[in-house]
Amino acid sequence: MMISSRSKWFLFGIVFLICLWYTVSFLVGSSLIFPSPKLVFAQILEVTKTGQLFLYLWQTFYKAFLGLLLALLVGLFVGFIIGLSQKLYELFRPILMIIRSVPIVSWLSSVILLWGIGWKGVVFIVFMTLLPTVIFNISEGVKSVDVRLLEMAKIYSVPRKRIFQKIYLGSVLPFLLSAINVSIGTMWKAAIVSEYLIGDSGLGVQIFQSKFYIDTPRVFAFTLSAVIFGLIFEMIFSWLWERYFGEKGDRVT
Amino acid sequence: MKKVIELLDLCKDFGKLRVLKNINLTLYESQPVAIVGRSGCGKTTLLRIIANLDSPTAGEVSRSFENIGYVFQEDRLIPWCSILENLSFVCEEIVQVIDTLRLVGLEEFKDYKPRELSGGMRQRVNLARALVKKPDLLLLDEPFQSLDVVTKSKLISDIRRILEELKTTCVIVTHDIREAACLAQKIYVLAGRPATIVGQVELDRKIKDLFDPQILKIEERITSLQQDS
Repeated sequence: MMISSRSKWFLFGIVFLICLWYTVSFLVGSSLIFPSPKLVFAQILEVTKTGQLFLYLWQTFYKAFLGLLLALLVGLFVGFIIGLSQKLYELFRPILMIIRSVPIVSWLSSVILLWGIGWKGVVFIVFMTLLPTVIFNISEGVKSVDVRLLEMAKIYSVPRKRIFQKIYLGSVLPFLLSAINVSIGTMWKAAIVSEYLIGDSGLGVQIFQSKFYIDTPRVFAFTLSAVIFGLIFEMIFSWLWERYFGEKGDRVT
Repeated sequence: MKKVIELLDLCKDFGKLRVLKNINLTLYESQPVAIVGRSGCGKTTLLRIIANLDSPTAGEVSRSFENIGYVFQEDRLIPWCSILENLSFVCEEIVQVIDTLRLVGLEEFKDYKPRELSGGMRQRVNLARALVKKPDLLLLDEPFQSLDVVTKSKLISDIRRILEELKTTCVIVTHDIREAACLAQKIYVLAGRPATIVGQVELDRKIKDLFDPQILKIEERITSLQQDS
């Protein structure tokens, strides 16, 4: 099997990372502060064998995904509306800028009082973290609609529904996909931090408990598992994007 | 002959700048006409007023057509839709869409995306989209601007064949007198600042192609009309 030059350098990067990790853990000399890769991978293997890892991953995933789904639904709707009207865009901009800048911990007191410890608060925080990104992306997509295409549709008296389906949705799609791409990375971080603070299950809770018992290798193991799973999820999405929306075919001359 | 469009004392201002002044023009059914003028003289503005995309500042426009076909300077195709989808966007009758693609010789490219086609082919799709709803009036706005001579020549002979076949009323605006002479029976000359119609040339004999020697005489007459203004 041929390995491309880029993949080769990426693999070298991983080997370099592991070597660096070994060196730092050796220099630090304490597995409580900075455990070695061997210890961390042993922990991953252990939780994988018992099947616990997949359960924790699933518990985090469904909350993160639910938050993403809600952000996409609301974001699409609001993004379209504010994208069509500059006045509404300016009206919503301060609110969205504030939501975007609010740190996750600042939502906590309200969320705990509203729903207590559990999944709802986590979903809400993921939703609030992703919402501004989705709204801003969608509204940019709507604004980028080619007015010349709209003029062409006007000439031929094309019904509004078809204009929306073919011109607006088509223009917004790349912006929506880019919003999803960015959100996939962010949703994991937001979900794990929220679980850590107000969750009752999932990777965040496991990291919290491992930290409580000063089991640093386990903290590293869960963190690394979340990173790997997040990357796999991102790669699957990128692959689907390339497959369905990538450049296809040659130009006829 | 039935009037398709009539412009009476039409004027158009952009802010303080008057672009068109006292345009009087009547177009009749099944008659291909051309409006020629130098770049930036207001030809496209006039065509946009005819198409109801712009409104005049003064004067009257009476339109007696239902369907319009507009061949834009740039193709204005939806980039993410196939050629078939681009035509179906304006006309849902799939049989009619396929027939029109056949008419412009692009039936086998129906599943291609616009970026997969050459400039000449995209202009053919632009033309097909304008024809698909069987328009009463076909407007062509400098449709050959970005094409090389060979492609232009081929497309002109195709448009002539199609116009003869469909008997559609057609208005072409162009700065190129050769293109106008090849496609129209009557050429209106737009000139001056603000622009107005300074004269017209009737073509009694059919022009063969872009290289017909007759065009030279027509060019001379039109150039002298433009210079007089």
